[in-house]
Amino acid sequence: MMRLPAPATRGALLVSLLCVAAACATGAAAWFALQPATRDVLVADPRFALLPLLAASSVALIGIGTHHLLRRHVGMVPRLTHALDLLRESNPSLRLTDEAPQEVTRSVNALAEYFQHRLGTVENSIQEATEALERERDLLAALLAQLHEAVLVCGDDARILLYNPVAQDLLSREGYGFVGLGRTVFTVFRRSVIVHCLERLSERQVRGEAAEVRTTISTRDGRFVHARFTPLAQGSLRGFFLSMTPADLPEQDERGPQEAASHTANDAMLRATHARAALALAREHPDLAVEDRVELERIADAETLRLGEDLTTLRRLQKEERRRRWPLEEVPAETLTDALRRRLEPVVEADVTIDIAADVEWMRAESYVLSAGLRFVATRAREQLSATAFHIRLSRFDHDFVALDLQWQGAPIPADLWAAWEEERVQSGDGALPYTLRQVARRQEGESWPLHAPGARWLLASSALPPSAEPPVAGSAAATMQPPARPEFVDFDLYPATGVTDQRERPLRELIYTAFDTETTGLAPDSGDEIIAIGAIRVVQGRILSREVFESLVHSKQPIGIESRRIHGFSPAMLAQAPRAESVLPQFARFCEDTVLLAHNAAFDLRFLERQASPLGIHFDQPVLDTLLLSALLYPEKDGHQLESIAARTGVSVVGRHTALGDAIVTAEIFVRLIPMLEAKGIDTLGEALDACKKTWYARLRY
Amino acid sequence: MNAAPLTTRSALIVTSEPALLYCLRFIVHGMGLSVATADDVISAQAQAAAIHPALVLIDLDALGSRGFALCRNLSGMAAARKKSMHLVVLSLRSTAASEAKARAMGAEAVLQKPFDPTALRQQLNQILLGT
Repeated sequence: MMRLPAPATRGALLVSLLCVAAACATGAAAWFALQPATRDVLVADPRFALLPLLAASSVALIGIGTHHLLRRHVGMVPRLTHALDLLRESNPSLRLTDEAPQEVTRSVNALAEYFQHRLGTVENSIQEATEALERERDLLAALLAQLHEAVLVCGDDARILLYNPVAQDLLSREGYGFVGLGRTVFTVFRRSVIVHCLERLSERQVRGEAAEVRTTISTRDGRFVHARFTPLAQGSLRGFFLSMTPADLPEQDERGPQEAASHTANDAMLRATHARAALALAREHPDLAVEDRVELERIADAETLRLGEDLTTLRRLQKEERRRRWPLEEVPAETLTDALRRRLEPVVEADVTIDIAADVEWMRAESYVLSAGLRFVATRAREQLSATAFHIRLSRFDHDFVALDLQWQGAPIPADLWAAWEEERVQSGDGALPYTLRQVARRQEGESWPLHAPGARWLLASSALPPSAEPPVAGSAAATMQPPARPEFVDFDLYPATGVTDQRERPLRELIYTAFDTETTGLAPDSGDEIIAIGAIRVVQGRILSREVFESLVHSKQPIGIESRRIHGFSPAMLAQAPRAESVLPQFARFCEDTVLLAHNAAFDLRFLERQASPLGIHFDQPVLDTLLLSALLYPEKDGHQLESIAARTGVSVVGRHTALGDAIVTAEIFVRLIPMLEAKGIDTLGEALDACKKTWYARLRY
Repeated sequence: MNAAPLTTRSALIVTSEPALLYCLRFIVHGMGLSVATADDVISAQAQAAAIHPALVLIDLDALGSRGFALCRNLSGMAAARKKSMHLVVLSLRSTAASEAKARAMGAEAVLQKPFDPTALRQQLNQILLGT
């Protein structure tokens, strides 16, 4: 490419041109100052021919001299600028060698020395402050790791700001949600469940009640946890705490209801055995003496009576067990009706009116489960009975029960239709409640039935007193974790975000990335080469989260090319046991949901991913940043944009290369170091980075 | 109250449990009622419409939700004909709430299992006599 010389070089060239012109002018003046006769004599001299040669060689001499003088100036400015950029942004120990003339090199290096020293001083004080912060963070992390409860702290946008290892173990499941910093808690729980609980929480706060909600909620993959929601309002932090214990954990107490139940079941079997034996004896001996017959009948009678008692005990224990696992919430009437109304209004698409009798105060109910039942009935009534104008009425039924009526205008429910509804599940989809309409009522320890008028009634257990502040029995998590070396599961810096919702507009520093890499059987996806390993790691706001990684081999029928095998070292035997792409790719897609993808030479990996994921209905259409393009953008004059070259340039040590996860980590580390350099070039947001990449020459490279 | 003598009256027993059916038939027959039986809700409704029994015994454990629906349908039928029909449900899981539901669906009494034959006979007699 043709470049205009820099001003200094231009000046030097001008001077040399002037020298040449002056020499020419002096020669010409001397020539014309001679007498014509003298000129003739000179011309006639055979050595005259040497004169132009002399002139030419002096011009050449001037040229060589000039070049010698200016040698170091040619291309000096871009070299110097680049070196200074590097020095400032990523490598303060960099020194000039032959990029510029000696004196410039000397002064620049002296300045660099000073810069590095000052930077060191500043870094020292930053480091001291950071260490103090780290100590506090370590303490918090140690504390969290000691908790037997799973703990999540979420911002008011439901993104996870903190989690402890127990929470990760409890909630992260293969194929389902991942717990991680910056991830939304909705990947683990249904949104409606969380929103419902948070609404209950804010209602309690408004009423000035103890700000916590205890309930049992289900994860998207259908496991239940006892959850406690409390609000988070500290300084500028807004959000909520969520502490959890698994709901299906065996009781620590040895004589818990389960133990007692198994004991009782044994006894019941004994009673049945004795009664049957007595009856069989009586049948086999028709000629028994009267007293024997009477005794056998007595035995059969007594044993079946005990059998009945045992079974009654069993049922009571079962109920106790259920109550222990699923404690009903104590709710005041207004809270319950408000919650129900809010959940109903979206499905009936109209206002729902409410009427609470004066003598109804507190009741025991699972408001979320109950509201699912009401939603189900309202939806069906609208569809099948043309119901409109829904109304909720709470009245006292008798001393023990409160009647919750859902009334409407339209047709009443035929008894047979209700009988059919009672056997239907009230929700569908992932994380749906597993209950039928009848079970919804039974779970409230009540019943439900159709009214004669258009509507339905739920009986709810009335509670005489407001609930005590006693916490319910909490199970303890099985897992105990060692405190991690680096407490990465806390990040309050995630809060507050800039509030810009469009990802393109958000600063690069603020985003959440999934740095990933794949290993493949070869280089040609179009000829059938396939992915055999995927590794990924999350980068959240400039921090590489070493706990939040994805790593999986992928089964492949494709033979592995010699070249590829030399690179990554996988043999077909290693892949024989690996899970298939059909199960790995959906998991990986969930892992990188809502993040920006980050890869080195991303076009290559994406091509493979798309080819194998599209048939499964999975698409990776999130924004993609490519460290290769970013490097080409930052160092247009350098040739090496391989991972190693960029790593060396940015001071990233390369360990564990050519494993997918190893390369993903190197990519992540490089990217984190490139961010300040991009910012120095005025590339602050994701949108700007994507646009700039598009323009670089490498962007035209296609696989 | 219907003044007809007990012998001319009939009872309908609805259950799909043969053992229970045998016992109930034995008891009710011993009370002097003629006995019809049904093992599902549809045939129960047809029988009830045909013979209009004075007493219907419904086994909720065998019929579940449809047992409650049967109660409501039969009580509607009796009301429409302006004739009395004593609806009695039998249930193992009799709680305060399920009793309330049974009554709301039209049952006159909820009898708990397991039952003592003599006590059951007494209860049914009281119901039939309206006391």
